[in-house]
Amino acid sequence: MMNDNMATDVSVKKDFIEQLKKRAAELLFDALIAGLDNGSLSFEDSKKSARKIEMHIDQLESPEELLVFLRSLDQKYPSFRSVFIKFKAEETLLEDKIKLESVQQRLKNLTANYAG
Amino acid sequence: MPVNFSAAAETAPQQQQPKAVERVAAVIRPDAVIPNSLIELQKAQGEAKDLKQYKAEHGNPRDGLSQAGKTESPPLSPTEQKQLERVNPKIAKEVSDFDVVSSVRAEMAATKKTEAEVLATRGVPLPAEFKAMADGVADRLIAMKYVRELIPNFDKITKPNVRRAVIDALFVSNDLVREKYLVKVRTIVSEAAKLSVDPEVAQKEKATTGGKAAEALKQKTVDRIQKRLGNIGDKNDKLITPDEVEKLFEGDRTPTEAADTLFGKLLAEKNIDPVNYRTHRDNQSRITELNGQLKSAKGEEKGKIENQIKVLTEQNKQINITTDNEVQISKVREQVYGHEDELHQRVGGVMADLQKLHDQQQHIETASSETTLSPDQQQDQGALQVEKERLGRELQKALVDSIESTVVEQYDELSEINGQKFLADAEKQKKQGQVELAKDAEHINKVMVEDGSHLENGKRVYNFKKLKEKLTYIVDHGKDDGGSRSMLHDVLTRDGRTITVFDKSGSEVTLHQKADGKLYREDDSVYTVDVQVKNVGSEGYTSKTVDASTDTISLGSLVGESKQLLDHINSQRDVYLHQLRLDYQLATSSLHIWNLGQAREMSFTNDQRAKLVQEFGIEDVKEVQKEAKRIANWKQMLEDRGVDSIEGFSGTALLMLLSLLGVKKKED
Repeated sequence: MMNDNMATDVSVKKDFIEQLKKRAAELLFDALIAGLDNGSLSFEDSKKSARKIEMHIDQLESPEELLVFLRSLDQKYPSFRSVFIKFKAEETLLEDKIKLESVQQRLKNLTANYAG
Repeated sequence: MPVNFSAAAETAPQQQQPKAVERVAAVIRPDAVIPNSLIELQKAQGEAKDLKQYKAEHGNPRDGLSQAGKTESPPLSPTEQKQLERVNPKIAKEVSDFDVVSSVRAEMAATKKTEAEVLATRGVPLPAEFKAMADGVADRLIAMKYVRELIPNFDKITKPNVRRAVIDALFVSNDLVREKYLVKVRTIVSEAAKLSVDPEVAQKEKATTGGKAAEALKQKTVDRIQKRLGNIGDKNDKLITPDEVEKLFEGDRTPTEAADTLFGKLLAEKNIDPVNYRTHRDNQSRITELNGQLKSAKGEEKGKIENQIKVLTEQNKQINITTDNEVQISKVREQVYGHEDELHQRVGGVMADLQKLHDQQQHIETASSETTLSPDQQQDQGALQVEKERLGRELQKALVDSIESTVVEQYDELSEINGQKFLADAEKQKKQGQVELAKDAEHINKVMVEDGSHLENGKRVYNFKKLKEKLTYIVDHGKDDGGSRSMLHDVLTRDGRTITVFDKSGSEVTLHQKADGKLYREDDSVYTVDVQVKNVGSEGYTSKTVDASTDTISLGSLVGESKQLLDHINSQRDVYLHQLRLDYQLATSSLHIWNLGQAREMSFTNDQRAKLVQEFGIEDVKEVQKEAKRIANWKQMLEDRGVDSIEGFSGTALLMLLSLLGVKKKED
């Protein structure tokens, strides 16, 4: 039973990261086209960055790795900054949500204890 | 509301977009110089348009990125090829062959056509020629030690077609290698264009030009001779041919002798035997002379002269030069020798032309023999030769350099991925409040760079000593235990990092590691542990107390946070081992190029090497599973060449190498 749960966890985690990678690839491809169009990304850099993205995305295994990669990509090719900001903002929102839920839960517990 | 163009111009990134004034100028003035930035922008926007279209047609962003990363290197132009031939025709042919074969491969990848289909659309080279060309390109690469050493176990492949297929798949069909190579070749082409002309070649060309000019003049003279003689109206209406003119001078005849020969030839064409004519003419002169003598002759002498005149006259009668003949002979004589004008100058006739022809022929012969160089020219020629040899060496080196830089670039990319994995782990640990583990992850990343390879002032520096130590340790202890212990050792090199273990009495002891690798208690005394040592010469083990280190300590004795550290190490061990393997492969494949003197520092025995492959091989399987989809096309290429299996070859290692080299999957 325990093994089944673990396998399900791994599978869910894998699906999640695959979805994340798919979305990242989509946003990065759009950012690459936009960068070429507005002149912020040169033709040569578009080739190099596309190869880099392709190779890195294949190897990503966690949301943290994705964020570290996007940060490093932004440092080298600022045309992709919007993608990093988007994911970073989502991560912050998620963390805030988790913190809020945690605080709410603690408050709930305290209230329950007080009432009890 | 009016648009504020100045404000818009100020906010536009100056380096990325051309100034508005330049863009407008380029449009309204046909002679305006279009700035590079504008050309770049147009190129980028063209690419953006193509990618948008690709996205609309295909939709999958992963494929779109793959499309965006593709490189296109136009083949060498005939002019570029000629410049390379000036450097060295043999090497130029080798460059051209690689260009042709790799461009066919690139077209196959881009259009998804087979080799036969691509060749059919090109027409040249023919399939059989192409096969010979492709084999030649692969054989030249196989001859390079560096290339052979890049492929694990390559020397175990014995079938030539398999060896060639592997090399073709890895390097010739690699668009990154082609791109880098052609960039280098084009740099050499531009240097070759600056090469001065070889004095010897120039001299020969000059001689040839001089000779050609003289030939042209000679031809004009021959034409004139033809025209002059054409009016004579020979029986077949046939002009004298240039060859016939040439023959007039056979046997080193002088122009006068040639004229005499021509005169005789023309007479013969009019059915007048030149020998008879000459005899007739000489007889006539003799008769005139004898008639003069006859006037003053007497007696027997007179009779003799009269007899001679009679004989000669009879002879001339038999020769029978008619009056008509006389008219024709007179015409021919004038055409050949001209006539005397009032000033007794010979005018008309081809005599003067024959004299010219003779002079021109001599000029041609002199010009073609003038190829001796002056001392200055010889010096220039020597310098030119040195420069050509240098460019030739650069050309030969360009291919192996392109392969090397492609490999290194990909290794660097994979190393960067590993580094990011450590940093991502650090971020994760921080979020979970594991400050020490976060610091450990960052520290490991730093150590891996220092103990592996890194760039210093653009030059790659290896820590061969550390790398060999770690690899040897893993060979001796296996990748699991060896990997964890090696990683624990690296973690403990962080300032202030300690671990806690249970000692024999069950008490917790905090230890730190010093530079000698030993573990010390808080009071700086060396911690000791009991280990089981195999008896020499007899069965069984004997317990022995030794100084503690990450090598001798029992990992099971770690306690509390240290146990958590060990779990964390075990979860990150694959990344650690992967990086070690990358450093090992890069260092060994680069030894003879960059660090020849240090080669011994990385030498392993055959047994050690076999164990390394065995230990890392397990990792390769995972890698291959991950990469298999991306590199499906090399299999197709092997199949196209009739290669169904690769004997004695570590397929996983090849697959990994293919992925390292950026060999992309065949897009369906």
